[in-house]
Amino acid sequence: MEQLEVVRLNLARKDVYEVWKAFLDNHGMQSDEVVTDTLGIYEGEKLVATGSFHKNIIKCVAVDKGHRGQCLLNKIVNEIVTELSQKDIYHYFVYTKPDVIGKFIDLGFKKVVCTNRLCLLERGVYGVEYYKHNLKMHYQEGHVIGSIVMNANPFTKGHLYLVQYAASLCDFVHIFVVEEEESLFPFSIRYELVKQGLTSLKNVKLHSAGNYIVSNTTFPSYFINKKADITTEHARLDASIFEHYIASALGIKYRFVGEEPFSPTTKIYNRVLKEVLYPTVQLVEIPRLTASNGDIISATKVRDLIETNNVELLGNYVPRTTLKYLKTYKKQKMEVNQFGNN
Amino acid sequence: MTNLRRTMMFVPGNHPAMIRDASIYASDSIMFDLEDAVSPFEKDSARLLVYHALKMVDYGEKELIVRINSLNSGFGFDDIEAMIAADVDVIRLPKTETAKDIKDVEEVIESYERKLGREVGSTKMMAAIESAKGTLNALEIAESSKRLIGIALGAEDYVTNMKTRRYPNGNELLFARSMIIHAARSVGIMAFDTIYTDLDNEEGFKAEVELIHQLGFDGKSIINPRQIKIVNEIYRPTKKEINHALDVINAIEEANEKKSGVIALNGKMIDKPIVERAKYVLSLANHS
Amino acid sequence: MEIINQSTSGTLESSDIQIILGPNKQGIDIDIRSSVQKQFGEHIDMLIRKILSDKMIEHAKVLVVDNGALDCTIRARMETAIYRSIEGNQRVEWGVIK
Repeated sequence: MEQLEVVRLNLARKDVYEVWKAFLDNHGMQSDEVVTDTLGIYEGEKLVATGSFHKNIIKCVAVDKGHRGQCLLNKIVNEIVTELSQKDIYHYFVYTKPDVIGKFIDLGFKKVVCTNRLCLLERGVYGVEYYKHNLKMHYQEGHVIGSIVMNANPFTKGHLYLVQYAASLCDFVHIFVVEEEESLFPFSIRYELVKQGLTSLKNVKLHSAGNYIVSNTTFPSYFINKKADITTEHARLDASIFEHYIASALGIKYRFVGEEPFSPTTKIYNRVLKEVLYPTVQLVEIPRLTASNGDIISATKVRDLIETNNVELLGNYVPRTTLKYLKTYKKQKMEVNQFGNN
Repeated sequence: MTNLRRTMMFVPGNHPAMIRDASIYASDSIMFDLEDAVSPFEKDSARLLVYHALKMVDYGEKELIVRINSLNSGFGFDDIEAMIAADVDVIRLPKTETAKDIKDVEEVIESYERKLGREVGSTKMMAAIESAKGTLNALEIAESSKRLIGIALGAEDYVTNMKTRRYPNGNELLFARSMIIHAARSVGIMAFDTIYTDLDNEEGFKAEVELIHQLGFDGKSIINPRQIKIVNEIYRPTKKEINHALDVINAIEEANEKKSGVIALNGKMIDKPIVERAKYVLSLANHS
Repeated sequence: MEIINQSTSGTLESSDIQIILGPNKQGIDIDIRSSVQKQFGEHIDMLIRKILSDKMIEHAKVLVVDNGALDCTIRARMETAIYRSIEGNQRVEWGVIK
């Protein structure tokens, strides 16, 4: 019979999970990926197509290579975008291998960027060209245009120092706050705290990074085997988007980052970023600011202090504006914990 | 449009390819479904799709029927208005249980006929009976409106309501089929049988069509164009029936020429039902 | 009418057309991907502009993925997207629909 139904795969069931995992393996993908919804098509008892999504990212799409590959792909993607639209998501992304992007382009996806190992595609009426077009309206004249990308989870004295440093060297600095909601603090708070922290600086402009600066939590790892390679690919992709759509729109020549003292992953990331951006954009690494007790200031450290209730120490690490927010934040959290379970 | 309704092809209302292709198959009528075949999220979409298809696709002589959602579903009023605006031939009600169900919908149809400037009474109706209660009320349903062209059995919901399932021999449907055909015949409207879903079982399908043909049903709902030919073959009159029908018509024409009041064939009186039967047989013969 | 929200309609199945519709600051931007682009790309573009102008919509962004839809399907999907994108629960006016 010609009717193939798209069904939901319940990966909590071990038998379903095993079949799905084996299917992905067969198509050269790992299954250790964050997915919230997974769909599939069976032909008789056999799984012949699958696709998942997590927030606005379509992942782990694999289709049996046999007959009607495109038809199965259409069905899976169709069902995923239907479910996304029911969640009011009309702009979504998919990572694929470069050799299959044509199949997604036929479904209305557009290439954002490709590295030699993977491509990021998107579909929606407000794509990356639209983002770039809007960025251009904030173009500033000047010889030395700098930039900083930050998650600011939350905004620390270290971030402030980095911005002040860049602002003192550049005619103008564009600051991008990562918009993805994968952090302890939501985007609106992170953005607001950066804004409050920078009111005294005149030659900086704050931007949302939209969907175009990818955090490592949403960057997919299922194509790539080795951990170091994942970071490399992630950095290449980010660098490529930054160069083509952000730096070119605003004439950015420099990107400032804090030197990475701990994480080997971030070290690799920064190294690759530097290689790929050069010579269009020069990456400038700035040594991290230390607190009065000699500790290196980082947002990770700040979150640890909040977690361990060391609120009185926070003043060493965050500016006054952030501190004020964190105090009320902590108080609210405690109230929720106290009364929340009643 | 012919007076034949042997095959009524079900077409899901949100499926452009099937809506388009329905025009090329030889079913006597097409039933576009806005009800069970369409998810609640897509009711608006299917309604517009069927509306524009009815306005723009050439379905030739086929009778065009739309199964609407019930009035209490929240979709029924819009369905009726849209389909009247699209000049549909017949509106089919799902899950009819009482004469009131028909009269309620008829009232809505009439109000939209007036609003949209369509001749009042020109929209025909059909009722699907899909429960024990509906079956027992088959006669009052059949009698409830002049707009009714026929009543139909919807077996999928019916067997669920009866706490049984469908069996190959169809014994579980015998009472409902008998009620429906009797109700239809006693009022002089048509009776239609339910769908047969096992597309791979051609023998089973044939057997079921033979059974409903034997019971006197006018036709069957179908879900795949492959089923059309099978139904038409079973409904094709025999040579003997055709010859007899031709003789009847000849006899009438001769009698009319002679201005003779009494018509007889081979010494038997020919009355109105025999003439109608003969015309029907010839129509079947011409279209199979 | 004014496009307020994003919406989508239709499917990626053969003979269907999928539309994503959203507000635009200025004018009508239409982006079409069709399996029959060469023969019908321009026709689809014109038809969509016609449907928008019938509804007096002056600003919209439209993404279209066509798999060989008939005009009646294009109309239906486009109107569905429009009704899903405008404010409130405005009902279709069946009598005057074009």
